[in-house]
Amino acid sequence: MYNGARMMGVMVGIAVGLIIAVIIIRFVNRNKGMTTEYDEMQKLIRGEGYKYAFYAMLIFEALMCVLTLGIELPAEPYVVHFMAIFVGVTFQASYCIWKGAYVGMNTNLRRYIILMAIISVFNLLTAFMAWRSGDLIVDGKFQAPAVNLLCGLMFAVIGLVGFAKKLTDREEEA
Amino acid sequence: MKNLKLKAARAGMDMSQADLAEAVGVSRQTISAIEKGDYNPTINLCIKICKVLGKTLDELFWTEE
Repeated sequence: MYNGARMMGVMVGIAVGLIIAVIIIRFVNRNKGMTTEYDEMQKLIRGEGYKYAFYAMLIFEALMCVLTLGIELPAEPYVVHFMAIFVGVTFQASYCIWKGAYVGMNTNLRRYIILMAIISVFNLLTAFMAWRSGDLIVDGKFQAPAVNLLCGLMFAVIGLVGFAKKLTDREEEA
Repeated sequence: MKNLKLKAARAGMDMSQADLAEAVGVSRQTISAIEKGDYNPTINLCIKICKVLGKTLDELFWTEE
């Protein structure tokens, strides 16, 4: 089941993801810098966000460990570990959005939203195409394209939290 | 506890939360959180806000309790 080609594929995927992340950061920051600037309250909240995200990842991984002792999960192990990463990122992002610490001082919000939407749609489409060709689930187990599905869903959830926050802010300001 | 004195001083200067935030170099959400009493700013930020609004620390941040 485990072979060099698949491992290489996942590593290339991660490398491409990192390169895209760097491009995104440079594109969405108004000063084209690599560092997103946050004010004192945002830094504090982001720290809390990382803490809760860490706990969420720990709980998720522990839960998956316990589950794998009793049942065979309907996903390849690396998909489960990616899921843990996405759980952590979603927790951190959602917490920061809700507390007003997600968007940096030098972030072009419009560009950021457009990019998030593109990434979400691109990943969901990739997963959909894999599902159509029968590559998403093989022998009852989620395969590599499930990572695209999770990534697309993660960005969609983050977008929904952002939208809900905007509506709440609008009500507060009114 | 809500900081109504800050809100009143800002409104008195005809400034929005975004205007004040830009003037002191923080996000609008931070000004909103200070006014709602959800965040206690550092002394440095308090001083910046006071300078922009032309008030003293006592006038904006001292509570009689």
